[in-house]
Amino acid sequence: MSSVGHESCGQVSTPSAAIELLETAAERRFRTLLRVLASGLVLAGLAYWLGPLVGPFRTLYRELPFVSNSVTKVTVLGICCLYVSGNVRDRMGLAAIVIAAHLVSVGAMLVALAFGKTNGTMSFGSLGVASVRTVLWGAVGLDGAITLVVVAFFILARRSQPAAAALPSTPAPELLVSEKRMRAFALFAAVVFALSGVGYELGGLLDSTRGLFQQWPFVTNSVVMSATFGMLWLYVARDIRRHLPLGGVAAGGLVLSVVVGLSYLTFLNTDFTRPFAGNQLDMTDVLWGMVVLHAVCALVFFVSYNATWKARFQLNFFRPVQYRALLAAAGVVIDGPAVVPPEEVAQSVERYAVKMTASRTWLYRMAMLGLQAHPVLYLKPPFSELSPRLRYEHIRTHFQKVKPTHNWLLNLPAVTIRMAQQLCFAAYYNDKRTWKAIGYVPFSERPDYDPARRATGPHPLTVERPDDVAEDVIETEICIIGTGAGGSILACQLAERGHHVLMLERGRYVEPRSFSEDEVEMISDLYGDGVMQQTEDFRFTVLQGSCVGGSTTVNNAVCFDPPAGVMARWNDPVIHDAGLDLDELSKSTGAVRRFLSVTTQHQGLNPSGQLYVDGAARLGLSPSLIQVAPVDANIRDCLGCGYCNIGCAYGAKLSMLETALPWVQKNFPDRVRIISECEVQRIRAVSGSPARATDLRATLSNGRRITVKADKFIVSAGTVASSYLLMQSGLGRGLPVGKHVSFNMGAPITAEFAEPLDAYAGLQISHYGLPRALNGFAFEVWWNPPVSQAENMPGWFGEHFNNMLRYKNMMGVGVIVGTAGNASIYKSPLGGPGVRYVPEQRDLATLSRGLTMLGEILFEAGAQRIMLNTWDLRGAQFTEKSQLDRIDAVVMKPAWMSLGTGHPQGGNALSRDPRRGVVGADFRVHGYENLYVCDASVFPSSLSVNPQLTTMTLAHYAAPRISA
Amino acid sequence: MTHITPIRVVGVLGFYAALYVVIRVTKKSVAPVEKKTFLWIATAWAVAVFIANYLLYLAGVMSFLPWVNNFMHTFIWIGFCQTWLYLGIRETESLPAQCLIFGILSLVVKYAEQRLFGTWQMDHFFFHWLHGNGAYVGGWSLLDASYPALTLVVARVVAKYVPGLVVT
Repeated sequence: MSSVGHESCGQVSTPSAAIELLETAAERRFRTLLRVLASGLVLAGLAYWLGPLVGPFRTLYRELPFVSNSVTKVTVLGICCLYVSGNVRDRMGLAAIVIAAHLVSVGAMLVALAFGKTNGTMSFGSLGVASVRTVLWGAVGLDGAITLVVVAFFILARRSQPAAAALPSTPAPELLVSEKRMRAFALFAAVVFALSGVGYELGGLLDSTRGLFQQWPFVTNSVVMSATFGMLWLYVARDIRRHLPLGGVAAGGLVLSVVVGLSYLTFLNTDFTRPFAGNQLDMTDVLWGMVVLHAVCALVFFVSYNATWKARFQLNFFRPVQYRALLAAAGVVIDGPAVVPPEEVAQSVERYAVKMTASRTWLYRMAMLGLQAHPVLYLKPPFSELSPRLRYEHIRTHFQKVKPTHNWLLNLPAVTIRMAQQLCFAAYYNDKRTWKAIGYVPFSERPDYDPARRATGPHPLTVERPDDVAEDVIETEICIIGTGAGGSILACQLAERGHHVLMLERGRYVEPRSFSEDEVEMISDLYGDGVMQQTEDFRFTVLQGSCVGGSTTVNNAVCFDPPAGVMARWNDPVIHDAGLDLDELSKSTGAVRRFLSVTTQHQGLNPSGQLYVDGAARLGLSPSLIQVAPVDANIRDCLGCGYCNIGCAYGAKLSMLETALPWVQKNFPDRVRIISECEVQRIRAVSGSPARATDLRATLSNGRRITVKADKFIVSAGTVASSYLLMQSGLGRGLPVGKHVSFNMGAPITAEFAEPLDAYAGLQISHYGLPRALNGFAFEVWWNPPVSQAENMPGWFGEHFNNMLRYKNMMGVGVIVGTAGNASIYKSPLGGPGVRYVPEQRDLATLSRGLTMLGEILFEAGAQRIMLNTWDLRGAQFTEKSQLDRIDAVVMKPAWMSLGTGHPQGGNALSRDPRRGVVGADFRVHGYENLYVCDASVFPSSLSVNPQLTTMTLAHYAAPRISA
Repeated sequence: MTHITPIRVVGVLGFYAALYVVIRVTKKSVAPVEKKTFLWIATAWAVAVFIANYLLYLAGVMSFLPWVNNFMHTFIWIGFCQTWLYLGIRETESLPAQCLIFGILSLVVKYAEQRLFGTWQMDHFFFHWLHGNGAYVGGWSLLDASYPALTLVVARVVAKYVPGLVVT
């Protein structure tokens, strides 16, 4: 087990024994030589390719099929050298093939010199003419020298390698049918290419055929190409499971040959003939024949190749090349004595990915492809072909050590690595076998588990899934888009007033009895695309639920009254001019509190919360400077399962799914209809003064499109989706739609204690801290089940692994800062909404103050070590209070911090002034007769506290205005 | 040389009808709320292009279109069929895709009219910028591909003053 960064900040963990594969000096030198050789060979390939097309030596490259073979030969050899350089110890067999290919080259040329007609000449353009003999001898010298050098380095590297430990012999696993087929193909290909190599050599020696095989240097290149392919295929067939990726190299060479041949056919004059066996062969026909033959071989190979990988790994989501990258990443990012081997981690990721409901899961595929290809930019083999050590170095170089930036393009390599890491963590820590090691006990195995409280029967809510929807055109009185905090309260209020309401929800309807302890499954079911939402520069996560009940189904149910100071600012005619009746708003707050039974929590609290409370008291901050207490929440008789963020199966969290929606359907039957898995594409409106929304188009998850006509439309889809829907529909043009978006920006401190805390066994957010002076931040004690915590746990490689081993000794407290409204929503070129945000310096300064104060509290509480959430732990972990003054330096580099939010706000701000807001005091979109917005997107500025109660309050307040 | 005969007129109409069948795949019918929008767009394009075709002929950048061809092309093809197509794909296809579809269909129609009516015969595009009849037909088709973008922009402006239009 590698050392943990318990020492002072600045130390970075070294790879564990699992990854460490110390290269010997000789192996390192061999690796360097091979990379140099690979560069040279690839450049030579380029020169061969372009030679007939451009430049002064075009006359040299007359015999185009052989020139094409030359391109393939040197490029494939170059790629083989690259592959060896990626993992010298495991690829010595491939190195031997490279050496053998050079020996074949020397041999073929010597045979040509001895027995072939080499008295011809070759024209080098303006440089003059040289005899074929001279060129051949020169090539013999060059290839011979290369061979000798490579052999020397090979032998030295081989001798320096430690003797392989004698492993107990185990029977080789039975090959699958597709693998056997692949092996047969490889053997067949090996024989065919070997014979073709002989054929090329003989072709130049026989009188009847030598007319075609005139330029010996290119002919011998063709011999070597065939020999190399033959050896490669034989090597693949010898151990199909281990060497199959090399088949890709060979097939790639065939594809290259096709491309080169096509380029010659397109750009060169190939209308000439060559004598062959008494006939005149048209060069165009020869080239086309070669192109077609190689294309067919490559196609047959790739079909078989993909089928083999898919069968071996049961692939339905990832392509083989993407899966291999994932598998390679799994072997590195989980750096420690893993109880789940990388193969099983990757398999789990594949299984989970197939079930994911998010529409942007293609990003995972692209990320894995990007990860696989990225090393090639640096003249290395693909990621999966690197040794574990080199993979580790690659990730460190292009993630850990990279200068943080807000430029999305420069962040792409880091993003691919990050995604691979997150997928691997999700699979690893969702596996029960890891729980014992980290000290986690699932709720169903804890003493306070009460199976009687678990939801088992059908939920008292009627929700139509796509197959239940009979009509293509639905007419209703009021259509609400979204079933979250705002939409559900609105539905209740409007139904109570006699209206008929249709609610459309993009996410799934998951009944509480289906909520499980499987984090990955529940995240997929309840968050959809909301789990993958990040800002444009990939540095800030915007987490949102996507299911019936909206974010209330997956949030922590924390309730704060609308802050008086914020409400005053909203109403200030100079600042936002929201035009709210604050007295009535206050009454709405009370009504919502009563409706949802919002109470101060005293049951099922997070066990670590008291440490925080005590720390703040001992430091003298509480109660005079900070109000510290258990949270108010819409939770009743909490069992402390700790699964707030993946759905409460025990009826304790009184989300919209649990309360408002069943209540309204029970009390006002047939007035509220809910359709799930229904994504609204656009709302249509006719122009006018005011304009009028007429209908909307939506797509069900089964692909059917429906139209909904209504008298009124209310958009309650959440900050990001609401703004995006208006933009997508072309509505609110001229209004600041999608602008002035703000967040409760969150950054946790993870603290380690000597004693076990079992912070997972209780309310995820149980205590809060609110400075009495307007400091601009708040604290929330917070912890997660293993997968979510792994995604948020600071550290990389061994640090992360060892931090997770201390899971039960850790607690987390988050600082949330209400940000300025400098974020914006836009239409992403990739489809869907994009979020653009870079934290302002002022907000970061507030965050820094909050984190510093929090650090003091946690040390006072007895923490041995605290860590910030940064991309790299360097400089971000502290063991003493005196080190906390360095927090500022870390935080003020926002690209370095791992920031996020579950509380996006704004985008369709409330203001009576259409220049400053999208909706007026009646929540109607300016300029529209019957279009409303009512959710957190109407907040003119950030609340700085959890927004759900304010969202519901506004909905309650808005209902009579909308109803009128 | 142009040859406009009743049989050829029927032939061209039949060609339009065949394309219309394909266009209807994108949109089965024009919703009542869209009828006004349809009429505005169709009329604006038909009248404008009808006049423009003649003016451009006078300017020497277009070959002469006999009034029958001009009328059919502008009122039936552009006014009716293309407007229907536009309403069908404007919400489901990206703008570049819309332009591509319009450009391709425009090219096909022009060649059909050339074949049947003998029109669209010019050996250069726009003041000899590009030579050959292919350049002529292709160039004008490329300009026709701007229909969706132009309609989008102009419709938004007009919608500010004319009530009852459905614009994206």
